[in-house]
Amino acid sequence: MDIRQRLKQVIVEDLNLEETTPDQIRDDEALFGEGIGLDSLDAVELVVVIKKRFGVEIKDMSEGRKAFASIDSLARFHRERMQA
Amino acid sequence: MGGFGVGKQALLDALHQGGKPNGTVPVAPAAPLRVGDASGPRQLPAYQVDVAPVSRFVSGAVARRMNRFAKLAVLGAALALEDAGREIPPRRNDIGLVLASGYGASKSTFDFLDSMIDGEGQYPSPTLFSNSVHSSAASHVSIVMELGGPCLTVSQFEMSPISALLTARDWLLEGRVEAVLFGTVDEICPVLGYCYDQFFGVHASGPIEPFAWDKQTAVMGEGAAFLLLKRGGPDHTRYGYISETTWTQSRRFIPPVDRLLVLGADGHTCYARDYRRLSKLAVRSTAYTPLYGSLPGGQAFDVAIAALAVEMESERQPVCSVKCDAQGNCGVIECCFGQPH
Repeated sequence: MDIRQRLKQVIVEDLNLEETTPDQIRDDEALFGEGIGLDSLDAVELVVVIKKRFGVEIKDMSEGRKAFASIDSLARFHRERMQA
Repeated sequence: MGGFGVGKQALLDALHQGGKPNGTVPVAPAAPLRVGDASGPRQLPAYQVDVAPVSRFVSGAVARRMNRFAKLAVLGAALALEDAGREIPPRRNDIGLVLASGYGASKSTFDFLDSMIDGEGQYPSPTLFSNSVHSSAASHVSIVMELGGPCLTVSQFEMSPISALLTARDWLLEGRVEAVLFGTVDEICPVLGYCYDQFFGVHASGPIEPFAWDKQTAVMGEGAAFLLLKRGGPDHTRYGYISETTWTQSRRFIPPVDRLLVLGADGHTCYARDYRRLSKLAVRSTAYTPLYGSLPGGQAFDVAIAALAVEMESERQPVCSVKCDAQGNCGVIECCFGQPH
């Protein structure tokens, strides 16, 4: 499965987005605020989920802010970490 | 709500038709399976609740942060307030909440501990943590139902309902609130299933035989039962009134002769001695545990059933609910017939 699709699935399932399906999330859509509507508690949960599911660690807030902008940015962050 | 279904009518139907376990819980073997052993996990019968109807009261966006335990609480509380209708005080700040639970949010608690162990303490889930805190479910109820009065969670195993009710009574008598939403919630989790299997083995397969004193027949149950309580007396409500709330020692309690005694006997032999003695002292005794299963907060179901009996006018004599624990404690709640509005 494509990494973007996997990320969407994990976000929907692990953050219990009961009214959203993975297909409804656009690759460039903002994950927080006006986009998908995730909040600060989701951000902390997402750090845990990304580490647990993908083995990638997000070490600080500035790194997280960049990575969590959208599915595209999260996929890019994942790729960079796997290549490093 | 319980294994019998969700809502007052489901409980009434169960009272007419009888109840039985409505599901099973897979129980993993304690030791690794032997090579060639294809038996897999055992299935233990259980009284389980479908919490899907909670969507009637909360949106998916709100419900996504609730664990199943909180959903049980919110659904139970919402149904009680819906039923109470115009009895609800107009100012939500005048309504207190006391939630009783024997096990608490044990599934979330164990899942949270697993997340700690799996991640070597580095990546515990914040959502699991917040939901594992015992008072979390009551907080969800307060927020969803917009209750602004005091909010408390009590956990004292079988004595949880009586303990919570004593607090509710004090709040009402002190005039601290106009009404108290009192309820009990317990949830089945895999660890509980494992414990039943380890402690009781094949004896956990039911059916519950509350009066078979020497036989272990308890079957796991879960559910929630809520009542809106107000100050008042005999001429006040359609569900009658609670005339007595006492926490005493089982061996000291002598049941009044003219009462129907509702025993919390749920098939556990560890409480059987006290229930056997009480049933011998009582003129009439019964048990409703086969309707909802074995759970520490079961006494709240018995009080709800007593209230229904009053409403249906099927029992004009006071009903005395008694719950005993293995330490010799005894919670006594007496429900009396009240005049209609």
